[in-house]
Amino acid sequence: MGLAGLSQVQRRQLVCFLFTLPALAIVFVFFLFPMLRALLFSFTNWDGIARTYRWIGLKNFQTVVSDSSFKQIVFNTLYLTIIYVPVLNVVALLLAVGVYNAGKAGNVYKAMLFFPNLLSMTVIGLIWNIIYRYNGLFNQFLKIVGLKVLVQDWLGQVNTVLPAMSVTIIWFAVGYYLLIYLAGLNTVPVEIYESAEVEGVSGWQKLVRITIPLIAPSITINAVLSTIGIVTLFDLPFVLTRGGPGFKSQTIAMHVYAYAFQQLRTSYALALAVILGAFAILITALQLRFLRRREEVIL
Amino acid sequence: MNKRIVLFLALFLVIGLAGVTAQKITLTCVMMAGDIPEETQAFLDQFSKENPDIKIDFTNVAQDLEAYLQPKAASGEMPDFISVNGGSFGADLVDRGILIDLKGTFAAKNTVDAVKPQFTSPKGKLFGIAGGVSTSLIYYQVQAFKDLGLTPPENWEDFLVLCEKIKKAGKTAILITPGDGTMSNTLWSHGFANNVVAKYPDYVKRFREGTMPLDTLEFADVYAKGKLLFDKGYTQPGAVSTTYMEGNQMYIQGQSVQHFAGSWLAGSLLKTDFETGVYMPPWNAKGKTKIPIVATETGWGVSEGPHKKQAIMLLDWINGKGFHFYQNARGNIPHVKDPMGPVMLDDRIKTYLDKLYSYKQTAGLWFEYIPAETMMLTFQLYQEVLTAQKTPREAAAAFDKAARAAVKK
Repeated sequence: MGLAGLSQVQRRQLVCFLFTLPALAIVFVFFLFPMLRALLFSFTNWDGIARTYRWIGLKNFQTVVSDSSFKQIVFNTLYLTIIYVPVLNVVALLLAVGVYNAGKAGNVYKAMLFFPNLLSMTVIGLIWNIIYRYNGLFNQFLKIVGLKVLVQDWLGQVNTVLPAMSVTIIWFAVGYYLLIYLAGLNTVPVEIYESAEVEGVSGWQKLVRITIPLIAPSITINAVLSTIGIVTLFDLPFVLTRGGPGFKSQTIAMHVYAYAFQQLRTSYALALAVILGAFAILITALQLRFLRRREEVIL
Repeated sequence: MNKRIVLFLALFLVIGLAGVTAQKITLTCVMMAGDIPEETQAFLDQFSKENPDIKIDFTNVAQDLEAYLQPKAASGEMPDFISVNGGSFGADLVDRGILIDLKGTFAAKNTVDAVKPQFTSPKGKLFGIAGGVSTSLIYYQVQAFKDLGLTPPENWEDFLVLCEKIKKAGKTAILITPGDGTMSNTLWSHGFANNVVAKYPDYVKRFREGTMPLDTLEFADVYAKGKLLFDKGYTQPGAVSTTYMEGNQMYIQGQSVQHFAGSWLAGSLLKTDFETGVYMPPWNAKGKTKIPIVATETGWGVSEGPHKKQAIMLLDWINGKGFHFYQNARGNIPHVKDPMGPVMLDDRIKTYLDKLYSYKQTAGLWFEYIPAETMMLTFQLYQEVLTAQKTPREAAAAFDKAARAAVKK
């Protein structure tokens, strides 16, 4: 029958499919295939090096979940998600509104706020490790401004390590999310704000009643991206705290690394990675469901 | 005419082949040289100078050597020449055929026998050559001791008295580095040696068999000692997050009267602006004999691969003709029978070694005998104890469980 037997629509669809084939091949080879292999190996006793392995069912998952540090690492990941996502998005939105209204100076502010995002997380971790040290810049600053009573080991205490890490992550990421909010703000018709001013609406009411509802799609994007980013966080805590003190700042992603490369238990690492993946998908699906519904109501 | 063409072609082929074989071989070299990166590059350059057909592609891995090498082993991309620690990781690699057995090499023949067992696998293969003999000791400011009328203590109780006096003088008594795994070289290893090895001299065998009892008061005291130093304020402010490099810098800057660190740092810690002395860590109880550490430094191994001949040449050079380049940079304790060049060993270390070698019972460093799966736990549990997340007994129980699970696997 060949191509001659196809209708014009079918031929067009075939051509489109052929054009997407290289991209699909890349996605399959570098993403889907390793993911499926990891899923397969998570049900085996593969040690990461041997050529042979045995199917052991859910044993790896049982071991990982019953590990004494599992509760702590899940707590740490949830803590960071609950603190980081709302705080980051509120800060990024308020800064975006400020930059939007700053006129020409807004470009300078945009550049300054986005600059940390140009650096790698590893560099960020090293810089902030120096800042947070007991004899580091932050404590020196506190002494200079007369707040010596607040000087402490920010990364070496159970109750300060996660908040300290959250500040670092927010400082790093705010510029990126600010740009997405700025893009959203640019889609809001100026006439609406002009009408609101004529009506005597306050700045706060403009923000809450006009801006936030009309940039709902940007909020959805940022909420989902920031959640995925924090749930899969590895490089910053690895460099900044190495997961310490103890396991107090160890994230799930860090623990996957620890299982695979420090404890040499590759099958446990893969099982935990599968759990992390499922967790990320679940949270993202729930978020999208809630936020999309909200968008539909508003728009 | 045909004969001339054939002759010409044959000559051309020979010259071409010669050209190919004369090409430089690039040896990939991964070494743990976080404290002497420039010096390491310099002595590798010296090797290349003496062997112009071998070019070295050097990667410095400051920490987490096993974590760096494991994915390379899994993907079949092991570097030709690697740093390797004595213990289970290297043993596993040689028994799988990923590292080669170094028995019979010049390096092996020129190494003292005492540092070979730690680099020998259960199947009897020599997977590495030690980088030196190592121990951990206490470096101290001589003048500070004189000013306070102190002398190096001989037991734990006297050590606490000494620390209290230093603290009362408004100084930091001792630097510890729980921020990363390096504290395992000091507080953990000495605690284990004096508390546990004293009772179980066959500890290496027990660890391998999974019969080492660790949920015990003796092992819990390994953590309790560190906790006591921390709670009493003898350690530096911000101790929990202080890392190895930071701690070394703090001592060199004179921020502490004493520093608990390894002999491999003698090259830098003995060259301070103030006079530094060394003494044996007194982790023994009063009336009990000390059990000091005599161990191996991170050594070198060769991967199975197309360049193993050249990698063995490098290994033999570092442990032979080129040894003094490495040793002079480090100032560490030689492990070779014939250094084949001038050895720079500080007189203070020489005196220390005379005393060290007089002890009948010694113990190794932690990574030489604990299962690879528990290596990170040594300092993570220590951090949990210091920050009161776990009691010393809970830490001991957690380590016991992990060590048994590792052997079961």
